[in-house]
Amino acid sequence: MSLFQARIKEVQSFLSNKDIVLGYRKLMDCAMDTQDMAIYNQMIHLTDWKENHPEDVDGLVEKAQSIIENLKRISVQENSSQDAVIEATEITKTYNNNGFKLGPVSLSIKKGNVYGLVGENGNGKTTLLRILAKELEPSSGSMTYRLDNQVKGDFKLRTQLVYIPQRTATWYGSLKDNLKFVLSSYGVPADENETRVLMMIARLGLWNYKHLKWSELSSGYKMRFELARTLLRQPELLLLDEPLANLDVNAQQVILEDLKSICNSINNPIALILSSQQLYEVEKVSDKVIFLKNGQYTDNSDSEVAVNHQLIIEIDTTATREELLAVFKPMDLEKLIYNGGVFMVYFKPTVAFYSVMTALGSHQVPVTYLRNISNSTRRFFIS
Amino acid sequence: MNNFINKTNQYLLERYPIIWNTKIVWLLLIAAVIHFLFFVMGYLTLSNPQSLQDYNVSEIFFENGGILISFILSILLIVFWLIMMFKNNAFKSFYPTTVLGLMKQFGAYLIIIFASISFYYSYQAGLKIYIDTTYNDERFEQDIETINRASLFFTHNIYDYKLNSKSYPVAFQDYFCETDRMLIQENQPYLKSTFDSYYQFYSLKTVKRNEYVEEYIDSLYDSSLFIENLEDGYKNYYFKDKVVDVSDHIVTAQPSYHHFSDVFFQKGRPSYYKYEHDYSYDKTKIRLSDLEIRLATQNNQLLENNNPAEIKKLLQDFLTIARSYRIKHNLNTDLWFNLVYHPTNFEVKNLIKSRETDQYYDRIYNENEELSPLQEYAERINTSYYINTEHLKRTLTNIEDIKNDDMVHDSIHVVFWISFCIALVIFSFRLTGLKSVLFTIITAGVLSIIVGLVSVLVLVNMLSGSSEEFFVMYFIFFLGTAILLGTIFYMPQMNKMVASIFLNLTTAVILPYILLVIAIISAHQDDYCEVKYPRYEERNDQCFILIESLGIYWSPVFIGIAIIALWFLSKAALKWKSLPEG
Repeated sequence: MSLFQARIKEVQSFLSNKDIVLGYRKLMDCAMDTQDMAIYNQMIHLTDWKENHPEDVDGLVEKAQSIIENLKRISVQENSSQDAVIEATEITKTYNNNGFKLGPVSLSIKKGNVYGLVGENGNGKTTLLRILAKELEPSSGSMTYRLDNQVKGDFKLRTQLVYIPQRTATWYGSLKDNLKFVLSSYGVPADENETRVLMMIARLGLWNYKHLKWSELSSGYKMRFELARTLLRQPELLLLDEPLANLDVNAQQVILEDLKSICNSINNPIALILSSQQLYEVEKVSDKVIFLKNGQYTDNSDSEVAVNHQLIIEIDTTATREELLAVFKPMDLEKLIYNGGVFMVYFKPTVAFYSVMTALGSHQVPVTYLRNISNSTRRFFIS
Repeated sequence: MNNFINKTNQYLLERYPIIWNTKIVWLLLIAAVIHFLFFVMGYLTLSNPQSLQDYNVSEIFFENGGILISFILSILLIVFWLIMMFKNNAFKSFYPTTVLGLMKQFGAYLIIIFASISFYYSYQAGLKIYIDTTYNDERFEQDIETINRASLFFTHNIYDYKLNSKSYPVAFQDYFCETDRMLIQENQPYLKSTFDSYYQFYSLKTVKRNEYVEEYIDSLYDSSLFIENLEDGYKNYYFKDKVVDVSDHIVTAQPSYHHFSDVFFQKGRPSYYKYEHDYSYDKTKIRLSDLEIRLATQNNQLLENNNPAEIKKLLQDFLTIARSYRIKHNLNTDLWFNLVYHPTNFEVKNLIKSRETDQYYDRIYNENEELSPLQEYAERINTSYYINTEHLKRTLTNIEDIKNDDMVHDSIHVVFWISFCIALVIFSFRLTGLKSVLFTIITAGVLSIIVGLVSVLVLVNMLSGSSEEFFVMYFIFFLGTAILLGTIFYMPQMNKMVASIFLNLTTAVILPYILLVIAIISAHQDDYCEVKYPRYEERNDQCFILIESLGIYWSPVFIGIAIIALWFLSKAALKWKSLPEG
């Protein structure tokens, strides 16, 4: 079974379990992978119907089923390139005025993967993204771009590297026209323009917002429109600076899921790097998390902790240090640190996470938050 | 309507992003409507013939507020366009763009701005078409003919009817009439009027000289009657020769209609000159034109015929024409006829004013002025009748001017290059942004101050004469070269903002720079010529000066250069845009 067929099956399963929101998004991803305008139009009509009949779940499933049947007849070209889109070697950036130095950073960014770039403010996340987008010149090091769409000249290369800054520029005029302008500038045939734009609008959940003005949109939807504009460019590399800023928790999760899903496209996979302060959410979707502190680079695969297989638990509780020490005394506790808000508890590798939960439960410790951060970059923030 | 606009917009957006973004279709449509309105305004402006009675009506656009309306509309249109266009910028967003794409954008800006600031031409076209249709060539010719013939009886100025004005028969054009009492040779035939006016006719002799070769002589110039310019530096100096007895051709020495030789209106030439003591440099003023000869002959024939009906018919025809041009007068045919018809020698017995006057300005001469006998006579026979022939002459001149307006004259090049400059500024702004353009303006200001100061310092202390000119030109040349070389070769090494200033400066200076190179070459050629051909006239004929040889082709030549320059600039702009910062 091809990957595409497997995904269709997955969609069917979601829909039959009435998991409509997720199933419908996955269905749209499958439809987009076909690059078939007839399928796009079917999805557009279905989206329109869905928005007009929000309560009619059975009707939607039935109609979606007919599209699925059409999808099954289409074969989708798989883009299984495993080459790195960017190979950055020992890049550094020094700012003379404040003495800040980024790097050296070496990275290899592959398509279909999501890279989370985390770190506190002022640690070089934006600088790194801008260097990768060729917006900034590195002080040293080299970068190699290996795009499927071979281009000549720096300007053309930069048309392929899409960087969205934290503060996106205001759009003027009709939102849809702005999106169509992208496609016509990229030479997309006129008869596909409207269809592709509506499909993208549908995919990013903007169907009911497409007639609004930019000033009438919330910041979350502004980010979605900006993403729509970006994705219409069919980038191979996408660099997003703080896309989750100003979004509520739900919106953050939805947008991250969408990004993950879109980047995992079968025939147009995207290498995505996104910077964020939302560590937990980012870690959930990222294939790799890159942590920057004072310009220095670490990722969640290489650290002494990972090597030691230490168990690190983050606990938010009203219990005192002494009470916790009493609870964990029989276990192989290494250290307990209180940073003013939460406790960080380090155990030897022999300790299992469930036994910590058991100990807390049996001593009736009031816990509001508990997380195993042994493999999370969260531990770098806390320590 | 909205649906049509939307559909067209979507059609353009999906197929021609540059056309959609520049809004050229809509702007040209709006501009076309405004052009049409200006055309209609131009067409209606002169529908009242009295509006033709002012000076320079062909330039009425600059006097009746047309220029102001045009200016305001141009500004509004351009601002509206910029607001619409600035909504999207493919180049700024790194959408794929090519050199050709950027040039097309510039072309669209140029066309839009040209269409938005050239309403004057539509207005002029309206004027011209109204005049061409209302006063068609045939009618205009006939009117001029009638007016010229009737002008014999306008009788505004007694001097026009003096004997020395006589030009019929044709032989009179070869004579010079001496009227200075002191220069009359009394032992030779001469004539005298009762107003103490003396007339003695002389044949003419000429001295031909080539002033390229022969030395200029002051006395020859002073003593000559007229000087006629011939080709290749030759000149004819006219002098009095012998006294001629013309009494056979003279009816009377008194002011008479027989002596009138003036042409009221002659197409293509101002009609106000007089022969008398005209130290003219114009050959045509010495010889009578065919029209002058024909009119003099016809006038003479009319007086010879002495047919009241024929004269009355002429006067009536004129008054009909005057009515159609709404020329003010207080005459009717019979009244006018009675004022001018004195068959004995057709002497002038009444004067008619050339415009309406009130009682305080009813005199021809000032009250305190000492008058000659002729002037006293003129004052005596002056009547309160008038025909406003000043207005008539202006009307005819205006109609002729507007008919001859070739529409696409030199000013259209000026409008084109103004559009070009505005388009360049907008182009720079679109490519590099407001900050860069502002910094460029500041840099250009600083550079200008430096050029000014250095030039003044160096010139005051070191140089003199023509070296000054060369120093300033070469100094600016080297500065321009540095900017161009910086943009071409060193942009990748520069900070992006500095690079944008270089790019914008290059955009601004590229054409003036080429003009400067041409000017430097021409200045050298001029210097060389000055040494080789010391005589000014000879220099004019023999020397090749690059800038002069461009002549009327300067504009097309520079358009060609501009297209090439734009190609390089667009290429440089793409290179600049892809530069990383910092």
